[in-house]
Amino acid sequence: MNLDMIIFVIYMLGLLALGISFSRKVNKSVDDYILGGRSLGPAVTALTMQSTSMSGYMFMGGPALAFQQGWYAIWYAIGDAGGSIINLSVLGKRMRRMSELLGALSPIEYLEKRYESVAVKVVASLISIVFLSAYVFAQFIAAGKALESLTGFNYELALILGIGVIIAYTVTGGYLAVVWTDFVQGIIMVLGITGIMVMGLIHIGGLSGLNESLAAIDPTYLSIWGKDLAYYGQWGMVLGAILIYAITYMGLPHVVVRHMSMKSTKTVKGAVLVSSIWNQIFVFAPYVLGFVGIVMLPNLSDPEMVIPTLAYTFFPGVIAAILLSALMAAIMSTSDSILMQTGTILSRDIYQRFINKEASQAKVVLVSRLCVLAVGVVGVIVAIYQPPTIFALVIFASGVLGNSFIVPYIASVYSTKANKVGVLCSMIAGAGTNIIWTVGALDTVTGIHPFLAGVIFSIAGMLVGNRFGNPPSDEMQALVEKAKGPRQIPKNINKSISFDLSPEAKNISTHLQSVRLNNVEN
Amino acid sequence: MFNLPAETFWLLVPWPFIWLGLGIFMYFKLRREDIYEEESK
Repeated sequence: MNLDMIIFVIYMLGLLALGISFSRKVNKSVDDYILGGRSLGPAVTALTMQSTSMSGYMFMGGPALAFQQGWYAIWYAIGDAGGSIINLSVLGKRMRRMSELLGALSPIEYLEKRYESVAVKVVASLISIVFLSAYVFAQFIAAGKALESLTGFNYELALILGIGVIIAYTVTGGYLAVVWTDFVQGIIMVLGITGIMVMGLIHIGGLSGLNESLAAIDPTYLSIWGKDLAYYGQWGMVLGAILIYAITYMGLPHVVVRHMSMKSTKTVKGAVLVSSIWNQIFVFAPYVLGFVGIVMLPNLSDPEMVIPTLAYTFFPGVIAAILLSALMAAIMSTSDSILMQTGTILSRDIYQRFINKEASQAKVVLVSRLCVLAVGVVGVIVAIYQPPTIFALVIFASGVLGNSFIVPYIASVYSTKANKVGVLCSMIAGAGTNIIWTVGALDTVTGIHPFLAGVIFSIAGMLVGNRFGNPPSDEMQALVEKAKGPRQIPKNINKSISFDLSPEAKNISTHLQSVRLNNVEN
Repeated sequence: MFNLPAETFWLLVPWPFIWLGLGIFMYFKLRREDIYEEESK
């Protein structure tokens, strides 16, 4: 066995041990298994959120786009780099408060309780299960391709081994195993990718040398409009490319659940800071390596393999092993979170809600574990028989999820008037638009990205739907107001109030003094 | 700069610094909110 394989195997076994070590802690209650007992601090929240958000796409799909389109691909990275800041700032505190007030343990249960509707839960569960599964299948395909190429195993064996580790620790250790392995993997990802990027840039003469070489091959690689100026003047495509990762995370159930599992609302500020630093170091590096690939690997047949091929061709040995570990870290940290979330939706939102309402805590935990196992096994089978491109599948699945849930989650904590008809219209319009736009290739006709179209229709669905049906109950409106937190009066208004009240206060004081003097004299 | 066209450089390169600045700004804004919440309790 080579040195790189030994390092990789040790890494996988370490993760497995870490994940399984949480199995005792999570056996106590559903809350512990599904949400880690709402105990996560800022650093763990930030890194689990980011390593979950940054999937195998970052090591395969993103660099492939950069390899094909040049600097245009950076539009996607720009949105991605700010995604966590927007997500935590917009939803963080309010969703943490609201989920506790509602007693919700899963993002879908949260929607049902907030919008007081079983129909909302059914529609949200269906969309989540279908598209989270598509998302996780893409991760499995990425894992299989990477392991096959780098270890020499055949695709099926590589898939079963790689995914077997993820399923094992997710089933046994639950949410805590997922977030703590994500934390470790977030560190490995950033170290691995920046290490390879530095080596690549040194090899090619720095960023200036890289751009000079790109210009020599084809000057349009340096353009913001893509290779051969394919997207020239299409600001609708550019805006969609930025938005898809800048705001999608607010609509991904396996990401927003991180708001619900924070220790308290005070966790948010530290998580924003840590994630914003981590993002700026990590997010741009895979795209830069895609550019390096254009110069150093001109005959590469599969663009999604640009980073692994770079590492194994030019930096074999320990560096390649670190790259393999980092790549698998990205895939595993996303896959485990999606598996966990799918298991939660199936056990908590479907089994306990509709099939066995009297199920004990132990039984729900058991069903959740079985569901994670079942989805994992089905995922492996699908990945073996239907390997589409990872980039296309991830963009499509995350786009549909984002279009379905961004507006409902934001409205849930900002609008007291958002009701169940509004949220149903929003989810169906958002998901439907993205699917129709993608399948019908309407982006080429309209110049508008499917995600941007989905956001517009989702907002319209919410606004129109809210005009029909009953408004939320008074109790729910009061809860939304409470979730907004205490209102701080702006300084200028505070000053004006003091100024307005001062003559009145003076009169009262003078009156009381005169009354006291009269009493003394009498 | 870095042998990039001016349009590409100015539209793409500043973003990491903008996001980092926003992250730091949000940290202090949220900290102020935390202090206010503590005081109002």
